[in-house]
Amino acid sequence: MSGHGKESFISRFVFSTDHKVIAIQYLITGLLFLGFGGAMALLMRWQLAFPWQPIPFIGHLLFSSSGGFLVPEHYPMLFTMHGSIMVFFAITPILLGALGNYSIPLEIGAQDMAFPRLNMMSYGSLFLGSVLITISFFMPGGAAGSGWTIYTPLSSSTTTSIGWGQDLLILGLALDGVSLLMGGINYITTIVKLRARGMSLRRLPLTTWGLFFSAVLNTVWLPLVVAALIMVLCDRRLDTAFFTAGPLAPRGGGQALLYQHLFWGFGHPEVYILILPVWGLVGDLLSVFSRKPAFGYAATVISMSTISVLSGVVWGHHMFTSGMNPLVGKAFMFLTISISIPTAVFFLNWLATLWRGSIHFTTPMLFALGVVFVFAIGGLTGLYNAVQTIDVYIHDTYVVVGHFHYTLAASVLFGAFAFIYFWFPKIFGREMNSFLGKLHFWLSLVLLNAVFFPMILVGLRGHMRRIADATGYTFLQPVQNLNVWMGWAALFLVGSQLIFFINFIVSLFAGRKASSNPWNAASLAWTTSSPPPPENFEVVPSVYRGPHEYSAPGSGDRDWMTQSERGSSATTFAGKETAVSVPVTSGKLGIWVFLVSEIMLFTGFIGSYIVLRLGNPVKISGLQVLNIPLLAINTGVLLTSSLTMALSLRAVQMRDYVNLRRWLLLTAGLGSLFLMIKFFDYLHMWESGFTISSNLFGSCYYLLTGFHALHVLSGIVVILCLWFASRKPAFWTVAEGRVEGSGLYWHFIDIVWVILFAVLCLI
Amino acid sequence: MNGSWGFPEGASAAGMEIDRLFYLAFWLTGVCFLVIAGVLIYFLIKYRARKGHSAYYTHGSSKQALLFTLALALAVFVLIDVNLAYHDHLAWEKIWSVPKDLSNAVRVEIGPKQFEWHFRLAGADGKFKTEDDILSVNELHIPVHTPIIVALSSRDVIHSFFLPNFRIKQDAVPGIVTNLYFKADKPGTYDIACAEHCGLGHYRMRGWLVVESQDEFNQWLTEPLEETEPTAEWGWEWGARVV
Amino acid sequence: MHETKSNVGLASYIWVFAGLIFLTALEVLAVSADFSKTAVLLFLLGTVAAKALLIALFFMHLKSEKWWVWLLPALPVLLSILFIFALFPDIVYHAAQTFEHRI
Repeated sequence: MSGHGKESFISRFVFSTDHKVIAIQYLITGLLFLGFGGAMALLMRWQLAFPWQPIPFIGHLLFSSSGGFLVPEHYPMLFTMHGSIMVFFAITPILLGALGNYSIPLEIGAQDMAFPRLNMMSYGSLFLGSVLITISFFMPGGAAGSGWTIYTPLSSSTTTSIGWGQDLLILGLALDGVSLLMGGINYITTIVKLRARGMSLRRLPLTTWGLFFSAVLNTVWLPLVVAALIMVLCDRRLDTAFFTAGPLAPRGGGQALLYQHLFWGFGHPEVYILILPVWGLVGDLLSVFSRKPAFGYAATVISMSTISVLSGVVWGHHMFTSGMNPLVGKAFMFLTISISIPTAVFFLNWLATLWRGSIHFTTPMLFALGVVFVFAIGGLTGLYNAVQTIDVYIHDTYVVVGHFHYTLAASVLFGAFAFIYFWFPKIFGREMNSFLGKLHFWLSLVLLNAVFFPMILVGLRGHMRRIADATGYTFLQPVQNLNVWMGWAALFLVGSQLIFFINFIVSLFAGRKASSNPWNAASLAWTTSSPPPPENFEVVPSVYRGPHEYSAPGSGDRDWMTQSERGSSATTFAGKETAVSVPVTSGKLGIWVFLVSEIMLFTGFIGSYIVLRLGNPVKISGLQVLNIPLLAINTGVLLTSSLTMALSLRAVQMRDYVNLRRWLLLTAGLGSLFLMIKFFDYLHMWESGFTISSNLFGSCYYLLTGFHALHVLSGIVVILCLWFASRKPAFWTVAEGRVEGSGLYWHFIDIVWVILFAVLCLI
Repeated sequence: MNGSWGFPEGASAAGMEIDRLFYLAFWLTGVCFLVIAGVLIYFLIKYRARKGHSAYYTHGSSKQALLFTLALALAVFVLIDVNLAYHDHLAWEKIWSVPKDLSNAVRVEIGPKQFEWHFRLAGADGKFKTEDDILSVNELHIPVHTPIIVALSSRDVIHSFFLPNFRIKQDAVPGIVTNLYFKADKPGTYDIACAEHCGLGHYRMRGWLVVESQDEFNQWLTEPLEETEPTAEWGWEWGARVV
Repeated sequence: MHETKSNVGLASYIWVFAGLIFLTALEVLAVSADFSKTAVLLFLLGTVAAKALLIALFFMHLKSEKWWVWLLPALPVLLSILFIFALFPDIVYHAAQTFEHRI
């Protein structure tokens, strides 16, 4: 990636594969949508404070048709898009996209990510998704109005959710999901495989650990919501009824609660995906600016991993009043409140890092300390929601909204600002203004509490969420003045963020030039120039110690030792610089990580089919409607293609490129035969009246086998590309890895069909 | 009437259990917060960087640190987690369990739709879907000190039947029937609100719950109500599970 | 460069393939015959597991990989089974009760 001749602007800044450029792309996208989302929040707070009043200054610009004020249709669009944009297009790009992409290779001593082109595609996917959701505002019918949670059947029926705004939101989220899955594969493979000599797992910065766990959670849980959203799209446009039930599903439907389980199965881990990098970053920053090691590094990492595991088994606490089985609710409650234990360990370690330190109040440190403060409030208010009986009262009130704004809009946002203030010198080679940064911090801290604490108060009063106007309710009249207070506080809060944006933009062009290590930090990123050269390090580093060696006795006249300097042999905390070896190639590891997400995607689909079928009183079996002999023959076809694929790998391992091409072509041919047989089978069944919308079984059948067929088609395309490329000798050096990887994917698709054949067709 | 910012006026003894449970949680979390914030601010002042003052080098991996961490974990587990779970269990029994004595219980069917609450009571014959059923839109009367059994099923999207003064809510989901039990201990007129986003009219899906004496309730039952819709239009059989 | 020698020979591939076809044939026979639904279900679960393992161990070479590579597919599969069972109380059993009460 280094030493190019004349590169055009397009190839250097638009279609770059350099992780540093991609990180900046994510950062700019994220900051733009942060502003957009914040503006929407202001409109909502105006509406709640002064319902149906014309909005000053900008009302006529935005809502000219109504005379400058919101009408009932607009409010749901505002809270839906505010939530979706803030979570998926602001915070995720900034913390996972920008912080992850920029810091991971630099902190582990690598030259770039494991898969730079995949990285570029990952940003491209996010960009496309952001275009779609922007367009959604201008569709007839307006933007989506179902809430960011997209609950069915409100969202899945085109009578209750009209227009294409809802569909575009779903497609935009799906593209963002694809971006995150690609990113997850990259981050996991990079952190496992590309660490420099001596960078053992015990020497990783905590930020990198946080990003790692975040990527793992994403890979495992995101596919569930992708499956759910695809089924919502089918309900909307293909006349199926997976999640639509009751009178809105005249031919007998599926189950509305299934959507909630699938959504929150992802949705709960998602909030930990967002905050894990922040926890890691705070751990590192408190260490840097207290000039002593992060206290209890191992305990912190173990707590992060415990919370990651727990996060996947607590989703039911979003559904206590949904009609869910209350005993199951008790189990979810107990698992949820036990998250308080590893969280307490975090707080202990953060405070103990400060204890007996030498604390420097730089802007990033202020924001890190701010995270500790607001996350204390956010995490503790989570306990009210976790207790099932209390939640019966406060579910869907502003207590919930206050809680998640303290943990997201306060803690995670402060983490994002800490990231930007800390890393700006490294990324852009210039320093941000310190006075403006501190002013931004203090104003934000005070005003955040002024906006979000009253939310807890009005929520305890019973103020429901997602209502455009609270003044119609007797019991809420005493707290309407708090809505007015919050309106003003929100105005000043959003206004004070301008200080940050101005600081950011002006410093980009006129900030003081930054040295390679303006913060006297010890991790690898700070041993290279600001900004780093294209290959990140002039000399590939070797690592001798952990990332937090501050104030170590014997470190000389500086109070820190970087991870890659040799240091005196008398220091007892220098370690060995043994090579990091993980005996599997990056390519193979990447494919297996990808298959993890594919397993979960098919779990979403197949699992839904299993429970919908078992819970449906109308009993239809595949044996009644399907052509079993034909499907059995097709199974044989696909199994044969797995054999030929395995033989093609064997050929490449024996350097027999003629037979490689033969077996590859045969595999593609058999795959195509599978698809053709399937196509004719579909055609025949459709014409005889068994369509995707005939009944629940039909919907499941066409969805599952259709999705499987799309995967087969993708596999065929990949195999044909391999066949095409194998004509050139230059390919033969990378042939084995590529064929093996494609083979893993192909065999996986075969296993999925094996399961589908039995579970869908034969039972 | 409801003057301050605190909980709205309580209309049921069971609902007050939730208030008590909340106060327990509030004190526990309040103490935690004060400890965290207090220690934080104290450390920030005491250990600020200044001349002649250097940091103390430790990784916090000593045996004492480990024991302290485990002790903290145990304390959090017992004092907060087990404590809250136990009290939640007690409160849950009081609020959600089926009432023991159902001889004089009043059964109500609620079929919310965008954006109004439809109520039905069985009438004198005690059976639903018969001619003498009482149908009402947005206004429900119930007798005081009487167990109320509610069966909910939505007629379009998910709504949530929320009684703030009773501290309870239950989602009404299309395609399934969900249940709610409560008892009013104080007469009065209370708000009914929808607590699940159901569309553009969600904010105005408001109803009134009138709690009155048995005589006044019987009087209301006999008053002719506006024709809403034929009895057979909606409703369901009350099966064994819902008593 | 290959770090794991392919110790799956041609003969093994053929045998595995034969096994897969044989198991498929057994499945079709099992549903055509007149066995009880439960028996058929359990039998199919067995054949599906066997076929999946054959493909994974031999065609995907899991047999010659380190143990922790096995974790990568094994953990999600376990998670999936648990997740699906977690859906049972609400989607399978609640539904069964409620359809008596349908409008």
